Amino acid sequence: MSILVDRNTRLLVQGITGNEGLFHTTQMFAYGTNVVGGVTPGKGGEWVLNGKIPVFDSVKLAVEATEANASIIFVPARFAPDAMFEAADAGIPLIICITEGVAVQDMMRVRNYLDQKKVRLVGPNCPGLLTPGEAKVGIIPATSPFSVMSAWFPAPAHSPTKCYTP
Amino acid sequence: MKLHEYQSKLIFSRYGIPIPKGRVAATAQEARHIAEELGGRVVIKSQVLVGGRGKAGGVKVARDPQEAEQLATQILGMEIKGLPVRKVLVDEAAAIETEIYFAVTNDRAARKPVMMASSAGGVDIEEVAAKTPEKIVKLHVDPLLGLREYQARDVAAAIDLPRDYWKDFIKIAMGLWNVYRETDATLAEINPLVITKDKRLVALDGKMMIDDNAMFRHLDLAEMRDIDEEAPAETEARKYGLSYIKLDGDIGCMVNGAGLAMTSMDVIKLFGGEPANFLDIGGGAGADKVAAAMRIILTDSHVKAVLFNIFGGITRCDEVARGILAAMDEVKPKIPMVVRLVGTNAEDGRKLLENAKMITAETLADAAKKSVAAAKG
Repeated sequence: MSILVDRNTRLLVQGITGNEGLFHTTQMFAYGTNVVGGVTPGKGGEWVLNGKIPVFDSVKLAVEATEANASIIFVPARFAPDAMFEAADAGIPLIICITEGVAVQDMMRVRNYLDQKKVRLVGPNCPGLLTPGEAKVGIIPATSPFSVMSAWFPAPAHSPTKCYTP
Repeated sequence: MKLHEYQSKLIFSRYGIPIPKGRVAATAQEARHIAEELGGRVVIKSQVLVGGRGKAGGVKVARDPQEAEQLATQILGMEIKGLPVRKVLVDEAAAIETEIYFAVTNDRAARKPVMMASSAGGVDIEEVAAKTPEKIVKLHVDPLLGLREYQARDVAAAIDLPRDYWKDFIKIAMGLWNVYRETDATLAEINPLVITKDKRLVALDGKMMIDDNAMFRHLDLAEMRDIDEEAPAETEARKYGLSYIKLDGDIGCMVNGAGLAMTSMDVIKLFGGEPANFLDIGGGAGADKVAAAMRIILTDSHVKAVLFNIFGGITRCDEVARGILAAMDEVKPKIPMVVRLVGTNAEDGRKLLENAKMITAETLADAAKKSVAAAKG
């Protein structure tokens, strides 16, 4: 998915101090993704991953400080619509929402609003994006068949493609 | 979640949509009392969460309270499409001149709500939709703006509603839109909306479905859920946030993700097996959710083997493994278990299961083959 994310992507994580947010920020960071900051309202000023990633109170503040150009959302379903509106209003052009179970009418409003702002949305209820060797923006396991399809990585002992061949 | 007709109509009336006078009854005696109160002819309508009640004989007209009691006795003893009738709605009978179909629902392809209306309303609307779709007027509503009055007027004109009724129709349209919008309905339907002989517009029937994902902000509606109408295992599953649908086969399935669950079922069938259920434990499922899922699968006595197919994205395989172990400890299943773990923390998960007596599989095909073999004994 190098047309959407690559090593120049400056990624923000909304819900970075939550269970899933923190776990997958660690995984994305370990993969080499350029995670520039996170957002958790009320926790601005804190740092995560041993002081490597700053936390902000709002997407707007985070964008001002980090020039983030993509945001990944790990907040519970009832807060996810607001998180998507907030990211769009802060000028983020690419939003990836992992959250599942967002109410349908909420999504119709979000989607129509984002379309008007020409913001690209991947999700909600999706595994995110992976550009092998450059950026993992999501919950796709980096050892999954998706990542090793790239010639940049040696093939693992078992054939990865068999995972999906009956 | 589906609502009963009487529940839907009660909600409609709160939004200014005229409905017939009437009440719901659980016994024939109650039905008689309501008929006495209403006076005149009444309609006895079975309250079950399936369509085609009228065609199944679950809707009857009574001339007087005595007949109302008789018919209620009859209908309360019925089963419609496998569902026993536990309640009847007793409504005043309307003298009908015209039947209109009127609904607001989601148009997923257009990503917008759609208002639908037809002057060919009534019990045959499915046939109208199939054979003469042009008789159904559709109008998309901007989800950010909401329904505008001019749009409701356009719909009234498009279904050739006489101008005298436009004002009332617009009021009903705005009411129906607000019902849909404020209850997070996936369907708010009036069929039929009738013009009575005394020139009134009345919603004779009502049907609503509510988005389960929006239930957190509709606790009042959640209380309306009729669990008598659901399979007990499905009610139990919902309590734990699991999607479970019982099927007729003998291989229990526990999978994370609806897509993978369907794929797993397909592959089981490909190798000659029959899945006993669809079960999606969802993303990020922890140990207690997994244990609940296993208990639910094993309540089905037809299950002869269980297949666990876990692709760990947001779900962590070690968590799932812990759940499996906890559940095995609790329910001590005597049937074979086949497990395939891939993705996030899969190694840790496999290690945890090493000492459990489970059949492990590398690929989905391998897992499916092994479960089919295990189920055959």
